[in-house]
Amino acid sequence: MMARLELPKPATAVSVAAETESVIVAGREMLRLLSVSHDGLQDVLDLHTHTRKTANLSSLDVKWRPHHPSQLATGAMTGAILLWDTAKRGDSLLRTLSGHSRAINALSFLEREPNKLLSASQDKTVRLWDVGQRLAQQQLVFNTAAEVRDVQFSKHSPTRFAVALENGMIQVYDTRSNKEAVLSVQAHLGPAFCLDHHPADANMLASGGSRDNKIKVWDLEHSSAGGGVPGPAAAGVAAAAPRRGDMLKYIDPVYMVQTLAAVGRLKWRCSPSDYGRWHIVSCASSIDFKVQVWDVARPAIALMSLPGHKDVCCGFDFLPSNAQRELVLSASKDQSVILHDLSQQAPAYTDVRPIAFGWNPYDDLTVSFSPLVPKLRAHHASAAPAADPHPTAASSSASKLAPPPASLTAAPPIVQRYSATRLQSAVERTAVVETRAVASMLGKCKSSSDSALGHTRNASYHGPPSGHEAPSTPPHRASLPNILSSFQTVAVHPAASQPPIAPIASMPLLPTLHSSSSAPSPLPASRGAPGSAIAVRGAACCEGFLGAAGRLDAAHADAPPPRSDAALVRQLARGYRTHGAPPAELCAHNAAAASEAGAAQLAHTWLALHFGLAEAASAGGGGAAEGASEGDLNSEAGGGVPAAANVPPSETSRGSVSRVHTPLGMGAPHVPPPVTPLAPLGAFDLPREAMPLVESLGPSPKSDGGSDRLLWTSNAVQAPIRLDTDHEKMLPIALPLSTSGQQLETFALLKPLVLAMLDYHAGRGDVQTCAVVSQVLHSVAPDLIPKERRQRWLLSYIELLQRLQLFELANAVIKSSDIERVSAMNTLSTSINQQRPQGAGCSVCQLPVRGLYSWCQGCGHGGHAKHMRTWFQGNLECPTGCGHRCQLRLVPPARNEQPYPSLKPVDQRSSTELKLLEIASDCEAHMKGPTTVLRQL
Amino acid sequence: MADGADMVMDVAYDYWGKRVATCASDQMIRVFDGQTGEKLSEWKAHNGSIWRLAWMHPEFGVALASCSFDRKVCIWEEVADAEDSAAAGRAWKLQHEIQDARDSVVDIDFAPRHCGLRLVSCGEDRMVRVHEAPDVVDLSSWTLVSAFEADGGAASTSGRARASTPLCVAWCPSPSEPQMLVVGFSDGSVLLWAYDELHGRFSRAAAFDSSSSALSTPNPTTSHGSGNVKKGAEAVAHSDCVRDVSWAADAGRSYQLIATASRDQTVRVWTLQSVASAGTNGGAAAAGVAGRTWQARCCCELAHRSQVWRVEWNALGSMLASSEDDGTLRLFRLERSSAVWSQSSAVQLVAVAVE
Repeated sequence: MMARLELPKPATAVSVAAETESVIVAGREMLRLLSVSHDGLQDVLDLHTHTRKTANLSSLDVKWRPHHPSQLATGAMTGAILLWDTAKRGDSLLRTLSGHSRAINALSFLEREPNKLLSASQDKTVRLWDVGQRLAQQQLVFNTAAEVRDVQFSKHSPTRFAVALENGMIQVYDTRSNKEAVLSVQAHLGPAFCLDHHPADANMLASGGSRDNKIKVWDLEHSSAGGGVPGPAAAGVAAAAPRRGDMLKYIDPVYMVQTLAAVGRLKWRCSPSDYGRWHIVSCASSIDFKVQVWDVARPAIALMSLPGHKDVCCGFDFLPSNAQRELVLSASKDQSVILHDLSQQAPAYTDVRPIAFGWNPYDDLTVSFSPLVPKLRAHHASAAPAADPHPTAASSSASKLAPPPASLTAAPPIVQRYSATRLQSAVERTAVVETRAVASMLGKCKSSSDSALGHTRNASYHGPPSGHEAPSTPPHRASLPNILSSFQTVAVHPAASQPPIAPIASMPLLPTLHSSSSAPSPLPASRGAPGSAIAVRGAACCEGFLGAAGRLDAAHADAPPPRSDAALVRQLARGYRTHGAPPAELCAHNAAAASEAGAAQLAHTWLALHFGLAEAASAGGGGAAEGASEGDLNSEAGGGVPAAANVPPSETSRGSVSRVHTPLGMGAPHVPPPVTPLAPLGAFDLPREAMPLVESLGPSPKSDGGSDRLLWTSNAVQAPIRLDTDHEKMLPIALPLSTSGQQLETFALLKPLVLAMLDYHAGRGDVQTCAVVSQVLHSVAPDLIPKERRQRWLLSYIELLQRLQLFELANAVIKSSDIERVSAMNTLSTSINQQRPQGAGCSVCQLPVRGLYSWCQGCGHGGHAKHMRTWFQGNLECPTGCGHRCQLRLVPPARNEQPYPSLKPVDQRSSTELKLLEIASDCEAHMKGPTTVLRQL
Repeated sequence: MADGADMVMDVAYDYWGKRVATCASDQMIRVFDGQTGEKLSEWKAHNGSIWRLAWMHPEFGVALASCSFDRKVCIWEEVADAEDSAAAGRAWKLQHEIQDARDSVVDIDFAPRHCGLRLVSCGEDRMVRVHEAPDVVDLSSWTLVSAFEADGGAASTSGRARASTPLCVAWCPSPSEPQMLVVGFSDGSVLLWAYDELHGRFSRAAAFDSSSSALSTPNPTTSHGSGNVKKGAEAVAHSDCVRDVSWAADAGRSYQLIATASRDQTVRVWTLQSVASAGTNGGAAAAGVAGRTWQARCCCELAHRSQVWRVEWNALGSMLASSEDDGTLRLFRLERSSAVWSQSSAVQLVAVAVE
């Protein structure tokens, strides 16, 4: 907004004299002359005070007479046309032309013959006047089918003019014949309010509709040629036919812009350069108070929006533009006139995001990039009017204007999916080259000289077309511009044997297959070290992008792929136990689970907790705290016994500890087998003091050599890790611990450490650890962690589990919680989420199931409800032969009035029997709302 | 005719991560299979460019909300055809159009599940509106719960006529906190609104101020209740317009994490803490929602090379991704040495350039 001037009355129309740049604003009982200077707008003259006449003073349109700098015409609400001369002293009103019976909607002078004036009226006529003579004469009356909202002489052929009618038609007439329209187009659904001939292309006409809110651009030449009746002669012949029937054209618009509201007025942009030739400026007659600039080739977003008005904008006109400025003056019902400078307006593309992305819960990223946006911006910057000092002549009506450059149309967006973890682990080492590689894939490769990038150009083959390397767009991409090309980066571990990064812990995994010799701390080293070595690795990495896994160094092919945080959480969630054994046992179990999952730091944490608890337990049980710790250490030193086996040191004298261990075995005869020693044990600093947590509390137990190696192998871990539902038995929780006050005292010493540890994990956003630890410790020290905090952790953890579709685990957490709000979650809604078993075909007939699907909660197999029913009438075991003894507990069909009566929140622990639920899987009817029974996942 | 199918405005995964929806300047919404990339459905959704998409929590149905240049917010629900449940049978049905906005609607967000079916939208008419479907089964009826002019009360008090419009909005996802909204503005400010249960409306709760970030002592940039923010110096979070704001999932932290992206080429990460419960170690801090005071501190600033368009936390809140104007996507991760965010203003995140 450059300048603003308040008016006394609401405006209805504005016109700018091309020569003098004087502005006339018409309105309700208002006709004011304004002038534009670099100071802004000045109110010069109120024409109403310069006439004695008081009637006819509300005008709907106003136009300057071409080549007569002081003369203008207004169309009054009453149907009169008033001719004014602002330079005339005394009464400015020259003449009144009467003839129309209703309001004048629009006026149009012929540029080449400024005597000729067209008036469009609500009385369904257009009248042609000759205002040059002393007594203005009405020359011709054109009767139209409907009220005429707009009229305009063609800018190229002086005998043609076009009208916009309230029935939605656009008609072209010849001034020499008022019999019949040359051309009729049913342009809009509702009334057509406005039209404008293209200033350069004689055949292009834009029209605006009020009900369909559309701006349409018509190619009149094409349509009249198609009709075969160009010219007035043909029109005269056709006039013999029933009126308008034959002439009506059903042609398609060349361009269409869907605007936001009824299009009140529109004009082609008077751009001094080629840029902007295809722009249309419009204002709405309702709702939208802004003046919008549209690019007909890109109609989805208004190129510019000129704000400022507080009410509907009623009219606008262009001031003569030059290289420096391009001014638009808009008048509004809010009693103001605003001067805008289009050359100062940033196009909408600067506010359009070229790149967008989304995460999924498994840390995949889908990224979209629209190369068109920067291209458009560049196009705008280079072709903006200010940059073009030589405006081309606007008279080339013979040759059609060039459409927008083709390069701008052939830039389909790129939508790709990445695995964040893999990207991260790959890129951490190869940040430099990777950047360029993908940049080239995005069509914006900056340097093509780098020979190390040879492979990356290949990468652009699978990826989107690169800007200058591969101009030929792959056909599928061209035809489907928004195709989601999902390719996942292949896990690559470049030559330097850096251990993969444990996702949550952000530290080296323990069981890597490489010997991590001289492994630099991965992150800073890679960032700070450019150079050719890294570049080569980057190339290898880009091969990985191509999926050329075969070219990878075989030595690294078997390295475990890095996992996302979510994958780790999933695995840990399955491995962790929070109840069913004394806390020390649980800690040992969870430590094993964590180490199996590769989360070394978590394993340390659990292990430390375990020793702390075991210490406390032994302190309570035998009063031999020192002995216990000694014993632990001895056994540790003696052979690297796995953690699970660490729990019961071989001294049977400490009965309490033994009791602790026994339940974990679940009656099974196997005690976790001793494991061959792995690492130099000295490196694994087991706690010697009563406060064993110090070691793991360090924020980064980063270590060199093999100190972080596992203390147990996976098969040793297997035994305690199995969460065998069959063996679920409620165990006396903290049986040995609760009996003694002394052990609690011992444990009290741990409290600050545990709290600090939990704070640490919470701060890192590792809600899983917090929630599980708090659950495990709750039985030992119920008031260790404030309830509010535990509730927060549990709620978050449950939410996380549900998002990862671990519904049973989430439910287990809910069930085992002592916090009301958490345990009440099961009663909040009746919906049950369950992971549908894979391949939901019927286990009996092997066909896909539609309709009722029932399956066993234990083994996950199922099928058609009927088939399952029959099967279990004669069998006990699962029809797939998995060996599970499913137990059938069918819903009696007779009780179907009360739908799904047996559906209760799934409780894994409550019984050893496993129910076979019968659930309607054709949930289309029930797909939403809390009454939903099952969501198909 | 040129259909302009050339600018993808937003990409959104559904809750489970099974499907991806994109919206584009060609007024179409497209839904893809998240794994295979197969296009499942597409339809013309608006009469203008679609700016943002948001998936509803699946408990309420398979539904999307979209907001557009055409001033509408549309609720789309996937309804299955009766007979054919194959891919061809999926159809997205327009359940409701929210037409309250008087200008382009630029961002939307669904409330977390525990808040019910609520949708916030903000647009260039400077209003933030919260709509609710009172009957969660019926997605076709939405009522306006709350609407407030998001120019901030600060503009009136300081007398500075800010022509700032809200550009982005995010809902607090935490089930343990009251309903809160954070809104980023075109003038670089980021403000927090909290739902006042007593009065049943949202009231300004805090203003984000990057100038106080360097200080380790808390700066009293926050206020009680209805926005009597510290006068004089305006709290400015960024020096240029805020393009996106993302609220991290409540992963059990004692504070909330919010990331803002701006045209000033930075992403800032903020911690938001309830001052009342900060000192008491979260003990028996009464959950008196109305009386809580919130304090936001910038805990780190991540520099970029060009303006940052989008920022989003991953599901765990353990990684942060940002996208830049030049097509760069960056991933950030909390560096391991920084154990406690809330105490350290010099938290470092490891930048990983991807593209």
